[in-house]
Amino acid sequence: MPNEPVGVLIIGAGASGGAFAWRIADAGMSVLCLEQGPWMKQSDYPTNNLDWESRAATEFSPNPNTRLAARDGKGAGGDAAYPIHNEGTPIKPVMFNAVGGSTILWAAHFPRFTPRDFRVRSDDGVADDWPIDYETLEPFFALNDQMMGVSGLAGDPAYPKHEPPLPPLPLGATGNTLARGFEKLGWHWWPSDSAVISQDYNGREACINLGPCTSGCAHGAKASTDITYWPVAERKGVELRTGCRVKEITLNDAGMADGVLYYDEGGTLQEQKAEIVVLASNGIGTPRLLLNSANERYPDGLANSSGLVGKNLMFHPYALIRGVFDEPLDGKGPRGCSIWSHEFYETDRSRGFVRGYSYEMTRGVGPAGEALFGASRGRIPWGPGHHEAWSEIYDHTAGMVGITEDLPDEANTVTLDPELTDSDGIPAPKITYEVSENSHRQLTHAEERGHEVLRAAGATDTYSDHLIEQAGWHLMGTARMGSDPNTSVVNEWGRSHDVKNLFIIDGSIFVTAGGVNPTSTIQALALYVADSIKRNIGNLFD
Amino acid sequence: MAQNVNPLADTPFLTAVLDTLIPPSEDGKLPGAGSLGLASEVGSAIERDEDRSALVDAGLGAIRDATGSAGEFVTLDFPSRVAAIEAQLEAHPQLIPSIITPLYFAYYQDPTVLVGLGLPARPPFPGGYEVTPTDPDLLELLRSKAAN
Repeated sequence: MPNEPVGVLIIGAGASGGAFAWRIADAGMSVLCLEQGPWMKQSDYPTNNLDWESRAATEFSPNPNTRLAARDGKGAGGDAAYPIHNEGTPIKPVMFNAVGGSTILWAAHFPRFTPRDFRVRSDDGVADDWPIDYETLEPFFALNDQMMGVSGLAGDPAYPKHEPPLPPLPLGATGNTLARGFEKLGWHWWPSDSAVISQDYNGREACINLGPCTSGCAHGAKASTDITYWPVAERKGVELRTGCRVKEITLNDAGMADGVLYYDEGGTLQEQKAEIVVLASNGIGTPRLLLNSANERYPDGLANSSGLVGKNLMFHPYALIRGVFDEPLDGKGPRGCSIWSHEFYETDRSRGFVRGYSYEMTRGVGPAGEALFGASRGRIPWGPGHHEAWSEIYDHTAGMVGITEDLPDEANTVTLDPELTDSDGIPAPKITYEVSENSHRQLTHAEERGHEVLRAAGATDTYSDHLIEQAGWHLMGTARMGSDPNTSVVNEWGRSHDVKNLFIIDGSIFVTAGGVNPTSTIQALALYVADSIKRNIGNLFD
Repeated sequence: MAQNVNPLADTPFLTAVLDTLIPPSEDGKLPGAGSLGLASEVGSAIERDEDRSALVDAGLGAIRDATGSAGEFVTLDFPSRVAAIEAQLEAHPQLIPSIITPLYFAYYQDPTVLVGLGLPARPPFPGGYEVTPTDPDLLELLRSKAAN
């Protein structure tokens, strides 16, 4: 029996898909979301068991290739992960495929883009300005904070005034110690806005400090859209179909999207018709699907008359800086959420680079993780001295990452691999990416200043990694927005220039990357696009 | 154990190797990794990964060959076992990295070890952990900055 046509078809149930589904649900159209992954169970997350560290590194690895290699029936999400040809990039893309998407495994660090992030061409003469600004998105940032449940402290001078709905998470000994270091140097710092609830909120219980947020929150205190947006979206009538992997977007004779072909949970190819198609598949999955949807009319891929689908891929190159302290630091607590600093966020050309980076303070890792981390850096030997070295480091190490602003470069791409496919035989993405000289200079600066602030905080020993390999969390720019169809893929409200009923709402549409985590901005954009569709419903396809 | 047995299946030998990589602590609170009985778990984890297994087989085989055919490695004192392993690392540089990932996970997730380290021998959930509150002086400082 053929599937009933729907009004709005969303592809992907992650950060943006969940937010969009909830917001569009009252537009008077039927809404269906197809998600290739399953619903996750909190009782399956690693922190329910003693072997949480090994499970987090294998079956719950954020790297889909690692999950697929680890599966033997055990990889979280099963075959929902698709392989990525990642040999051509020093930063390996990471993501998760399930209801909730990568918010299942994220650290829930929740900074917004700053107002200046939207106008880097005007302010700094690089890249391009966005066709929208912070003020346009501000109501959606605020709405999203309410829906996700964000903890933080109002008044950060790095941002326009905003009031997180929940008080900040405790800084812990780690955050207190590092904050004193920043204070000593007179550098900016502030408690992070975190999508982790510090108090009971909307039926969810406050954080109890499980530690590793990045393998799924067994307590449900960390926001992921499967427990924030999706329950209310479904109550509003949105249908969510899991285990459904879209093969291609189909067109009618008029060149409008008329639905998709997808493999259902049993591997049967299905057709689903829709009036509006919305891509929410992340900065790699979205260009992959557009390129896989090439047809006679669009031989270079759907919505690709600009030639920019899959180009301008941006990550955030991360530097890691760690310090060893004499005093114990309670490294537990939300893994990625403590304090941040925008001291070096804005352009100062005397530093030798344009744009800048933020710092985020991280907490400790588990006993096995610390042993392996120490071994990989020659700090914890095997054999004689092993226990002594481990004791000096474990719970005595505080770290931070420098998140540098990547600038768009058309040479950094997502293309289709000619051989590699997913479990349904759909061509897999291939990543080609180089870290720019500007980013390398930022990374070096972040390392040097990071050592300085850790020493100021009391670290007796510091060390750093110039570039973290397994940190391609933030996937941006591969279907950029803009007002000129020749230089962008979608317009200022996410509608394809070429296919008037095709929308994109994930990180693909970012024009620039900022120097902070993008999820807050991705979700604000998704809510904004949903409202734009509702507002323009009368002449949506003109 | 005869030398034609795969070194990962040579339990006495692998146990001695693991006890060398993670020896017992001097204060007696922490057992050696081999004495803890991790040989089977670690061996199985290595064998599940074909590439890792090949590297470890070659490296451990070289150690066993170099120390004698009748299982002499097991009878060596600790410094001699360390020296025997080190002697093979130039020819087998991936041996240690290939072993320690499964070994460290197995060791540091074992309840006996966690107790010896003074850590709770339980998973993080549902108990969670205590975290030091934000320093009130820092909080006051921030509030005064926000007010300005």
